[in-house]
Amino acid sequence: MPITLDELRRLLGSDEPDYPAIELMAGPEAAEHLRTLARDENVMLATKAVYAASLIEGATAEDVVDEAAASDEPLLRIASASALVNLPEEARNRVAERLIDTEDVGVEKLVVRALGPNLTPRLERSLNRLATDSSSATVRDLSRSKLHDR
Amino acid sequence: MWTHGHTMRVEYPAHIMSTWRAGFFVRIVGKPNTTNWFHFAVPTPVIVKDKRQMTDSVMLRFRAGSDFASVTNVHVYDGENRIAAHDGLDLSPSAFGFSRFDVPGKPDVLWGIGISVGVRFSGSTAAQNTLEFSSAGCDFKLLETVRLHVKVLTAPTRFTIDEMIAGMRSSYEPNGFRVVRAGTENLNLPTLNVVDVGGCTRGETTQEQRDLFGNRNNVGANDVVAYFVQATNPPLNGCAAHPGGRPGAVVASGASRWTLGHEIGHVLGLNHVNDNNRLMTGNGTDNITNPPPDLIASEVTTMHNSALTIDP
Repeated sequence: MPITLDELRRLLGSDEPDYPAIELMAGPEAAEHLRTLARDENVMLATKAVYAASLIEGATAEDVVDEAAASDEPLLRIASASALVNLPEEARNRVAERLIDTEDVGVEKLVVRALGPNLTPRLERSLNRLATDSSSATVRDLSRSKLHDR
Repeated sequence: MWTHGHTMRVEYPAHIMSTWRAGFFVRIVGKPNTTNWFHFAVPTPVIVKDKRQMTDSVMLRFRAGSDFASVTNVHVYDGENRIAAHDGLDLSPSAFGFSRFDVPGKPDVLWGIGISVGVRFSGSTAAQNTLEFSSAGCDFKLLETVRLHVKVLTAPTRFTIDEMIAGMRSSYEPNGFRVVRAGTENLNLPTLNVVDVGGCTRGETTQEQRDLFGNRNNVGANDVVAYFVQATNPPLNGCAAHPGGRPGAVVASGASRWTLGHEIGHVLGLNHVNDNNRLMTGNGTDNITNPPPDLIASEVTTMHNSALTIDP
């Protein structure tokens, strides 16, 4: 039976949502529900919906993560960065390009970690910049390592 | 411990029209349109049978001649330290009753308890401006203690840390556990401000959790630490998974009022339940229906059995 909006709201309302269980329960039909929840005024619920969307295959789910990347709300951008690792490479790179220059160490760390070996020219430029200019030694090291390993 | 009302001291005698000390109470008539502070020194058994006492609450027995004479504040002091403040009161009981005022956190008593009572007289006649105090007292208790250290990478945004600790106390204290805020430290760890918690599974931790929980400055072996971070990866309100020997939890900036108590509940051995009246609900502490959320007897037993609840 398809999962409902209310059921997703209940599952994601937990302090510690069980994402693997949600992934098993949510089919493609859940993507629109997650889009709705990702726009909820409860920011924590919205962040969890963004991450949950990344666990579902399909363009709609990818759009949910992309929309969060463009948000003015820092927690939504962080959730989008958390979600990157679950996206197919093309979508991951597209969203990563939105996020990588936000100058938020938490976001930078998650984005760099999530990147695969096939970088877009823009991502490669951003990684080179972070490798030398990031305020975080961790991000500089991660960026250098990613550039070295590609 | 109680003290009789006629031991009371008036801070501003010039604001008083008359004071009558009798065997049964002290009667104060205030001058119209004045405020004042009345002070009670409560005999204080600081250590009993080698155990330091904890301050649970204070009590007053008093009555007012009219609604124009009222108690507006009750402050509790241990020596020079104010340990409770109840402000914005407007109490004018017509008969001697029993008013109790909580002391949050049930702190150890160190130097002796004083109760300072703010009063207001706004009537025009002596009868209207009369307050009579028969007694004042303090309850001392011995409770098991959770020593909580607060380490802040990012302050929470929806509720203050004080509000979260108050929420935690409102569930823990009625069940015999006091929560002592043993210390507060700000941590400048930007790369751990979004901390990777993996699957947030008891007994399993990520390298970032191990790095974060390594920050235990001034923390005792059986003390618990709450690390307040901007966010977790993946997004959670909090996570109680912690490395062995470093008990604690992370709390995200968007957490609920009850998340702190919920996560420390996990640290003390509690599991999720499917009941939104209870602190350990797995349905989200934002959805708690009847605050403060409950702990049930079996949970209290689990907490008693935890090495992290310290006997008095």
